[in-house]
Amino acid sequence: MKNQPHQVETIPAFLEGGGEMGALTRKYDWTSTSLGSFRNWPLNLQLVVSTLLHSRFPMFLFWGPELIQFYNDAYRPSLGTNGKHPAALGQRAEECWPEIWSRIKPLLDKVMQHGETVWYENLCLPIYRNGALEDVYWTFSYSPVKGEQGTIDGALVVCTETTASVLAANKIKETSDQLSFAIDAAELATWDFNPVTRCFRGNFRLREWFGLDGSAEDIALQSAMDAIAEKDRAAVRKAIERALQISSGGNYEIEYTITNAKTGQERIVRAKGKALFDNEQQPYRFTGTLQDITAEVFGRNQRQKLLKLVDNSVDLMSILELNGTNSYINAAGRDILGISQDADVSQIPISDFHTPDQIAFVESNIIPTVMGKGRWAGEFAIRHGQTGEIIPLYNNCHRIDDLETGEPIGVGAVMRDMRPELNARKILEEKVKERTKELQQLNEELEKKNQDLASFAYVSSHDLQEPLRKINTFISRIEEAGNNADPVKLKEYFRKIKNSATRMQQLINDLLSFSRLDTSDTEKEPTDLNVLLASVRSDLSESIKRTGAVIEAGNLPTLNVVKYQFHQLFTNLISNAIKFTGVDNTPMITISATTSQAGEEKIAESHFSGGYLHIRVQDNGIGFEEQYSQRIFEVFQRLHDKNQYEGTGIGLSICKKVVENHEGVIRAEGIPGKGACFHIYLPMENE
Amino acid sequence: MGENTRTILLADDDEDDRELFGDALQEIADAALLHTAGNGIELMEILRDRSVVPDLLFLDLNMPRKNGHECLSEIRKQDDLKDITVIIFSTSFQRDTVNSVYDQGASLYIVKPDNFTGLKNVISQALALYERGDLSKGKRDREKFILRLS
Repeated sequence: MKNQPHQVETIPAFLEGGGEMGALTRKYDWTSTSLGSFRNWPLNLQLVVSTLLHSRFPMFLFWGPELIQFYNDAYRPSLGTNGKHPAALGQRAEECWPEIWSRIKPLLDKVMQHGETVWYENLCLPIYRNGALEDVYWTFSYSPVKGEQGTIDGALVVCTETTASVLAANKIKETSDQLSFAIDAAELATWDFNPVTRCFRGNFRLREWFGLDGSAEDIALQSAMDAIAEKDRAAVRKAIERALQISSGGNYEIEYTITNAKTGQERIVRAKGKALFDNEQQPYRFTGTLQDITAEVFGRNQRQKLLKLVDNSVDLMSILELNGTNSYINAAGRDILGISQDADVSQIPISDFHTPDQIAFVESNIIPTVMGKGRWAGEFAIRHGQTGEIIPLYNNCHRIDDLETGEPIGVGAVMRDMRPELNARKILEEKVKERTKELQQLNEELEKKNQDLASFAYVSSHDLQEPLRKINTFISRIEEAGNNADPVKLKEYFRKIKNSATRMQQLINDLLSFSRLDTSDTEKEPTDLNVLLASVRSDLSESIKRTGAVIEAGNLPTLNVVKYQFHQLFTNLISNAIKFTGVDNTPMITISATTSQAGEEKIAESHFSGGYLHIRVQDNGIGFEEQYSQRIFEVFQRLHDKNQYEGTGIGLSICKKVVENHEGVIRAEGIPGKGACFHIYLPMENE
Repeated sequence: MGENTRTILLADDDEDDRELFGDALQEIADAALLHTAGNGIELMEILRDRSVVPDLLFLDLNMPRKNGHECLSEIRKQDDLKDITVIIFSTSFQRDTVNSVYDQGASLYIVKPDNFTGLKNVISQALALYERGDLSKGKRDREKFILRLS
């Protein structure tokens, strides 16, 4: 029995102790190996094994050409459970480590053949343990164990498994990689400020933004400050100082503009940071990030501009969500719909804004068109929430699609209040109607003026030629008579010539007066008609005296008129009244003035919108037949033979023109044999 | 001579013209009977009550109350008057007026001359035309309607 002697054999001193592995080493049947019984082991083996078993440092020993293996308790956990332990003890290395033999054989060769010492740190040597192949990291040295004759008898492995620390370090690196990836992905600039030195470090991006490419790792705060826009500089400085006070909690957040001094590129950045404080409440570190928010600010400003635009539009603008509620109605829209500016429009059903008919139209027509074609525009109406007024609108609505998916997400509506336009249109139509009427009136007046002018030209030529023709004719008679002429006849012809010449003069004078009414001074001035009448009386005093005419006048008003024209008006009327008096009659002329309201008399209805003044000049003369009441005002129209009543037929034409120049109307009434009455109507604004 | 017994009616508001016409007519045809009316109203009264039945009517256009146009129009509307030969006798000479009285059925348009010889001349020409029958309705000629001494 081979084991028999072992049991009784005493244990040599070099194998004493050594824990579990000491016991296993003692028990192991070394005679089954090329080493033979430990009693015969060479001294250097004894010494190394003894050292190994007693070391608390993990150690492993390969011995002899077959690389027989020893290891201690400290090494044992590295073999795991359900693995190589305890079979590795006394085993040949090649049999023990088939999975990594190709990697450790060269190491062992270096040691065993060349006496080199091999050192590795955190080398990954995956081994089979704990029922699986595991990545195991080692820091180890392989060193030769030499014999007395300098032979290399073994390789001592002093090692420590660093798997846990390597994995921890890997973990840290991974985390740091992830962080830097995140920083990179977020395009953040980072900074780390030292409150003591007032210098900071920044990542590449920060340096680029600030235009800091100096080689110095530490950047003075001041050089960064220089890149900050003037307008923001004080605020940034203040925010930093506040963050460095413990009272602020170390929080730092501010937006400012920086300019790269070299490229001139401007960036708006949002800085966020946190200061850390020591036990003395002094800041010892202040770190943070910068985010480029140029685009965001631009977008924000653009959005703000658009919102302002929409909010202040005079048109109703709204956004209808697909669930049928409004999510936005601008100020103008709230006014038109009669809802308060702060009401939550999403809570108001759209049926509140429309009649049932309108809702039906929205559902049957507008919504399907907008959803299908993307747009609907046309006349529409809403109902005012408070007054119930139906307000006509021009509605222009569009489907709003999701930018990415193209799916509809709402409907935007722009509606114009059509009331001002419709009102304006109505006013315009009325104006056009009014103007057309005015134009028609003007046309009629113009036509009448043209006729007047034509008849004026005709009668002028006729009436002016008549006296000339007569003068010529009588002269021809005188010539014909020659020297034997009857003196009585001659005298008669000369008298007739003189008469015709006088009449010619009268005609020319009257025509001049008449045409002067249009062209000469038309300045109006307040005129007391009582004074004016007195002046007319004085002018006509001779004929008044001759005929014994009596002129009675009531109190007459003061009017704003062209004085000389009114003088002529009264002169003509009164001299006519005196002239057309019956043979045995004394002229009695009554002049009166009254004010009347529109509509009191027929004449006023057609002519005046307001009150008017009515002046009457009544006489007791020969009058005229009603049929001539218009004709007597026409130029050169006479009712009597020239020999009966002298006159040119222009006097009343002058009267008519004077009254018309003052926006008035003149009418004549006559009863043959009894008298005539001239009515002058003048608008009150003449007063 | 038939012409000497013609009855002539002159309507003119100008007394001098009536006298001159009478003087002229007397010199060229002293047998002719001249009656005068001082205005249109008077003329129509004379014609209506047939106190004068003229062979020739010399009609001034520009008269007070009722002018020559109105008279002509009334004459042409009345059966017993419509065949009277009407000679317009006027100072004025305007195309529109001339056309309108031609259309109203006037036989001749005399522009009053500005001397006594001319007056006699146009009256005698008018009488001659009448005697030749050139002033009858069917023989009227728009071309020869105006009688005017240049």
